[in-house]
Amino acid sequence: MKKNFIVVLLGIGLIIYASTIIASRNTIYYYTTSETSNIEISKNERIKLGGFVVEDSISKDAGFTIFTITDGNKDIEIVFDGFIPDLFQENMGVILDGVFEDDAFFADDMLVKHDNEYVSSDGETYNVENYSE
Amino acid sequence: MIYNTGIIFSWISFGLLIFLFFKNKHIYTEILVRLNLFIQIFLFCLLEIGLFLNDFSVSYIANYSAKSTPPLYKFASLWGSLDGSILLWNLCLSLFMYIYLKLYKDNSSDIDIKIFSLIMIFFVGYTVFSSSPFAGCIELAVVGCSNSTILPFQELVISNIGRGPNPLLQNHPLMAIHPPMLYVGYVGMTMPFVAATSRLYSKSDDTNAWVEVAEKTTYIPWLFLTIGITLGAAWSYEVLGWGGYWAWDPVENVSFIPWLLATAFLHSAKIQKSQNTLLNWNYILVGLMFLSTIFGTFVTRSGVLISVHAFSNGNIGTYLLFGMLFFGFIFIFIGSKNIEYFSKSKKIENWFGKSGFFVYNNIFLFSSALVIFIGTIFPLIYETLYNRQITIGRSYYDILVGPLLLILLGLMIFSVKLPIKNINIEKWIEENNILVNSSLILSIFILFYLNNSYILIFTVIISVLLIVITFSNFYKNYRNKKTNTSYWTGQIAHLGIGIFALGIIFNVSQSYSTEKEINSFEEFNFNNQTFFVYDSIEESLPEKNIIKLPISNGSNTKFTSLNIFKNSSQQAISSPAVFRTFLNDIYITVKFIDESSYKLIVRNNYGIFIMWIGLFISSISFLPRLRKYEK
Repeated sequence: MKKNFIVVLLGIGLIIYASTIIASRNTIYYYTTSETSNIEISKNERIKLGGFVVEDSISKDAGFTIFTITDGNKDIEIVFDGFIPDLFQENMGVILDGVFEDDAFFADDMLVKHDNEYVSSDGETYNVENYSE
Repeated sequence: MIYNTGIIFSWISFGLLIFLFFKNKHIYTEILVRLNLFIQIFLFCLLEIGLFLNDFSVSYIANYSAKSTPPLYKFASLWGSLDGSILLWNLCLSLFMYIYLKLYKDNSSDIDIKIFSLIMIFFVGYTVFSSSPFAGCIELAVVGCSNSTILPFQELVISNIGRGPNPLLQNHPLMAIHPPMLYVGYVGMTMPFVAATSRLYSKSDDTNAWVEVAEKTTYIPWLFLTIGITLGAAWSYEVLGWGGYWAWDPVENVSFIPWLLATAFLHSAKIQKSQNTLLNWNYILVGLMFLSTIFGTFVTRSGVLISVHAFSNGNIGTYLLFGMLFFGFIFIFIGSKNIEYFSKSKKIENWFGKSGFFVYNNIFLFSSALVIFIGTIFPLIYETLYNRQITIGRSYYDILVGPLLLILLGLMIFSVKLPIKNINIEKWIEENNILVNSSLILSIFILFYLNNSYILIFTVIISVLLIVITFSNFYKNYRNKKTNTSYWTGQIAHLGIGIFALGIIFNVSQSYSTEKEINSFEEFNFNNQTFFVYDSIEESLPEKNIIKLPISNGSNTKFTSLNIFKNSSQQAISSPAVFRTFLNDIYITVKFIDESSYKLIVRNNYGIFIMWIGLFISSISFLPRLRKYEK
C-alpha cells in the first residue's frame, strides 16, 4: 500500500515536472500595450503584443486591416497584413506578431484568445443606427 | 412579473433544498425531490416565456436576446451566457437527482440525497445570492441593460430593443444542442460522486456496490460528453469556418479532462468488480471527475482566461473555487473514513494480463488528463508568479498528449480478448496471424499514396490493426449472446476511435491551404480542380445580413457566406463552402469582400469525413446496452 502510494506520487511528480519543462519551452510571451512604453525595443525587433480590439476601430485600407488594441490604459494602432482568424472581432483578446514602426505596430500574424463568454463592455459604444440596415 | 416570480421561486427552491438537507423524516424525501424538479422546470419555462415575450425589464433578456432574434436562438439564449446557463445547470441537476432517487438510491439511508441536495444548494445559492438570470434591470445602457437588482419588487426600467445573443452563437442550429449536451455530461458527473461518497460514508460491509452504481451512473454523462465534444468540433469546423475542429483551447481542454477521467474510471471500475482491486484509485477517480467539472466551469466562466486579474472582478470565480475546496474536503473526509476498507484492495498480480492492461490504460488516460490540466493552468500560474502574460503553444500538446494517445490506441488492439493471466505475445501473433499480416499490407497500401513521416506510419499501422482486429472479432462473435453487452459497447467505442485516429492523422499530416484573391466570374485551380466564382448575393434577414458567394467545381455549387449581425458589435462570421469526398474536403471561406473582388482561403483538409464516421460510431456505442434492457 505504502510502496504503491510512493510510486504513484513519483509518477505524478514526474509528469508534472516534464510537462512544466515542456510548457515553459512552448510558451508564447507577449507584451501588453502599456508595457511597451517601459521597455527598450530596438528598431525592427520582432515582438509579440497582446490586447483587446477597441470597438469601432477596425477599418480596411489597401488590403491592410487597421485597428487599435488596448489593455485599458494604452492604445496602440495596428496595421495588419496576414490571415485574419474568423474569430477576430471587437473586444476580442488578440496577440500580434510584428514590429514597431514609429507609433504603429506592423503585424503579420495573429492569435486570437477565444473565450466563450460574450465580452462586451458597458454597452456605451454600441451604435445601433450603424448596424441595423 | 417574470422578474418577481422568477426571483421568488428561486428563493423557494433554495429553502426547499435546505429543508431537504436538514430533514430527518424519510417519507418526505421523494415529495421534496419531485417538488424541486417541478420548480426548476417552472423556472426554466418562465425564463423561456420571458425570452419569447421580449420582457426586456429582465436584465438577462435585455442583454442576450433581441426582438429580431429568430425563435430557435431565442430559445437557446437561455444558456447563451453565464446566469442563464446556471439555470439550465440546476434543471439538469434536479433531473439527475430525481433519476438517482428512482433508480440508484441506497435504501438504507438518506445520506445520498443529502449530499445531492448540498451540491444543489451550492449552485442554486449562486442564483439567489450572487447573480440571477431573473435579475431586474435598473439602469439602461444604450442597448441592453448595464445594472440590475436581484431583490424583488423594485422599480424597473425597460430597454426597448435588446442586445441579442453573441453572433457566434446564433449561426446554426447545432449551437442550440451542443452546450446542453455538454451540460448534461458535466452535471451528470455528480451522480457517481454522490453514489461513491454516500455509500462509503454509511458503509458497513465490504461489498463493491458503490462502484457498480458509480459505473452505471458514469456511463450516461460520459456518453453525453462524447456527443457534446463531437458536436462542438463539428460546429467549429462545418459552420464557423475556423477550418479546424480542435485547437487545444482552454475551453475545449476543460471539457476533455472530465471525459478522459470518466473513460479511465469506466475501465478501472470493471477491474474492481471482477477482481476486487484498485479500490482506492477508483474512489479518487470518481472524486476528480466531479471536481474537474467544477474546475471546467471555473475556468470558462470566471474570466481567468483573459487575465488572472479579471478573476477578482467577478464573484463566480471565488464562489466556484470555494465550492471546489468544500466538496474536495467532503471527498477526502469520507475517503479517510474508509482507509481500512481501501487497504483490503487486492494487489495486481498479472502485469501483462487483463488487470495489467487496465492499469496501463488508466495510467495513460490519467496522464493525458494531468498534462492537459497543467497546460490549461500554466499560463494562469505564470501570470500570478511573474506578472507576465503568456499562452501555451500548440506544440506542447502535440509533444505530450500525442504519444500518450498513440500508446492507448496500441493498447486497444489487445482489448478484444484479454486473458486473466499474462499475455503471451508469440502466441497472440500466431493466433492473429492473418489479421496482422493483412493489416500490414493494407497500411502499406494506404501509406503508398501519402507524404510520410514516422508518426504517420506508426499511427496508420496501429489504427489499421485495431480496426481490422476489432471488426473481425465483431463479425465472428457478435451473435454469441453469452458475451456481456458492456463488452460490445467497449468494442464499438474502440472501433470508432480506431477510425477516428486514422482520420485525424491524415488530417494532421496531409492538409494544406492557400489564399486566393479573385474577382466575380473568374476561376481558379486548386488540387487539380477548377473552381468558378459567381457574383455575390446579398440577403437581408431581420437579425442579420448575409453575403453569399456561390462557388462551383463543375458538378456542384456551394455557398460560402459572411454573416453580419445587426445590433451586436460589428462582426462578420463566415461560413464555409465544403466540397466533400470520402478522403478530403475542399474547404473555402471568404476573408473579405471588396465590391466584386474577394479574398478566399482555400484549404484541402484530409480525413475529416473519416473522423466524423469514427466519432459517430463511438457515440452510438450505447446500442448494445439497450439490447440488455429489452430482455
